[in-house]
Amino acid sequence: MEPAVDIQDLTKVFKLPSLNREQVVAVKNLSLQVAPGEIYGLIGPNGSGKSTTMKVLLGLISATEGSTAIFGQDSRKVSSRAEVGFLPENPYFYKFLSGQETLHFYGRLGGLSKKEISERSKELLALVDLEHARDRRLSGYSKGMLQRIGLAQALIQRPRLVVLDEPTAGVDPAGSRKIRDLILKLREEEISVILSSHLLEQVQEVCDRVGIIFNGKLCREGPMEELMAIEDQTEILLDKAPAELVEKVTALVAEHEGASLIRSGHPRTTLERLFLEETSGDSPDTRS
Amino acid sequence: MRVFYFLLIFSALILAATLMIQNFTQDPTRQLKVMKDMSFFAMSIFCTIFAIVATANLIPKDIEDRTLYTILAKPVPRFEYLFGKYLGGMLVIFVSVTVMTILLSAFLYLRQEALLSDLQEYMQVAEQEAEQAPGAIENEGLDLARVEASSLRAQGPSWSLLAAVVAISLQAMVLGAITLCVSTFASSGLFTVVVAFVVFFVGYIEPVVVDSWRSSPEGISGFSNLLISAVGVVFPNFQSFNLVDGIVAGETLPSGW
Ligand SMILES: Nc1ncnc2c1ncn2[C@@H]1O[C@H](COP(=O)(O)OP(=O)(O)O)[C@@H](O)[C@H]1O
Ligand SMILES: [Mg+2]
Repeated sequence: MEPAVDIQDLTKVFKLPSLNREQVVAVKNLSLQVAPGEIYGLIGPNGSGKSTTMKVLLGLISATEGSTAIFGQDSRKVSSRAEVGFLPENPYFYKFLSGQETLHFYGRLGGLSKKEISERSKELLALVDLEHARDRRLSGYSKGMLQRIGLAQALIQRPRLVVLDEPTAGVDPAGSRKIRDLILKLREEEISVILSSHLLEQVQEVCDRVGIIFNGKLCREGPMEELMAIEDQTEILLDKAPAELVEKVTALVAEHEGASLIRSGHPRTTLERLFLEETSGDSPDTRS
Repeated sequence: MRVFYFLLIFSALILAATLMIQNFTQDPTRQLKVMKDMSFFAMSIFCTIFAIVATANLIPKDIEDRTLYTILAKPVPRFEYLFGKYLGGMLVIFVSVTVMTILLSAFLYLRQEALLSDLQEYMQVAEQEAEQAPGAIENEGLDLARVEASSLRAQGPSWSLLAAVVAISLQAMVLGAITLCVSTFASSGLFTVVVAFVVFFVGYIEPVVVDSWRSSPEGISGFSNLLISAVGVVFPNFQSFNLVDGIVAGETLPSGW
């Protein structure tokens, strides 16, 4: 089966409009695939090239080198966009339109008939929990509501792939939980998702596979469980262990040559640790 | 909506013109001519400014708001997007030109009727007087009034008027297309507006300048001639749309139009 997303050796260089021909290498030799039905998380600090990768994938900007395809169709072709929905980072829509009208507008762009749109938008407004605001103008929508109407807009023509650029950025915890639940619903419908985020806990909760991108390079990639496992370490998770048992175990470990206890206590998110490990160093935002 | 304030100003302008002209000239035909002249001037200015201002920011705004990303992420060819934006801008111009034309025709018609009925009244009185005391002097006044009436009739709303409106709209369409094109690569809205106005100005002035230059006794040197031809190719000739002067003067369109 054709991969939902196929990115081969993508390099994107921005030429800055200045006299000394400054260049920014936003993405460098990046390759990744997303299988149909898979939820892929692209994580990395600000300025690491996540949005740029997504824009090239959607044919919004051209690749300097390499190629990208959606379900086997080159991103440069208009037809490749028939099966994809996109929610950009901090999206704005036409403020003077209502939620309903916004869906109508994007439905038309997606090539749906009026009848299909009215059925589909009813479904989607229910899905993203915006039925109460369908006739309100977007100028009165909160950040979380905008993000959700953006998601509905992305789903209007029943795409098989959804690209979400920081879907929960700037949304409060309750709102971002709603969005997370929506993404999980997409998995049930076997829709492929590629999303970017720096909110790691969420990525950990929803993604099947993650890639860590830093300074335009994909530094680490793999299925969630594999990435989490640290090969030369073993974790023993004890339930209801009394303090003296923990002491005994600690003593036992100390007796053994070569082995050492790194940490004992309550388990934490390990993705966060991994993230910090991979991306420590100069942040692109602090480069001059 | 800001367009509609413009429309309001436009109609206020015609109205004010109608009322004011009466103080300047007693000649009824001239009154109508001046009225048309001022209205077309206003309409032409409105369309020129509007064609530039309304289109200059359409695309930059979509880029800034990232609406463009959501639109082009749908299976929409870029050409269709550009063309749709252009048509949207032109629709606003088309609607306002229609409204202005209706307003102008209505004002013109009412004013014409008023002037004609004044004349009619005068003619009736003159005819009665002529019957009572037949004499050459009074008849002359009557003849003059008849001539005046027929020239007045020629100044009312007509198809030629519509042709001038169409020419103004076409000019706005060309200018709008140029502005939209510039806005796709301009770094700022101000740059777009300035470039569009320069293009318009050069295209409007250039044919006139070149004509007078060509007919000057010294003629034009080879290099200047080349330069002029180059300018002529790059800048559209906005004089082609200038039917207004002739039509206001009461000319009808040459056949073949
Ligand atoms: N249009 C552009 N022109 C110049 N540089 C850009 C442009 N877009 C992005 N960049 C640069 O490319 C790098 C990657 O940006 P981006 O993909 O937006 O990162 P992320 O989405 O991971 O925060 C950044 O250093 C950014 O400054
Ligand atoms: Mg980004």
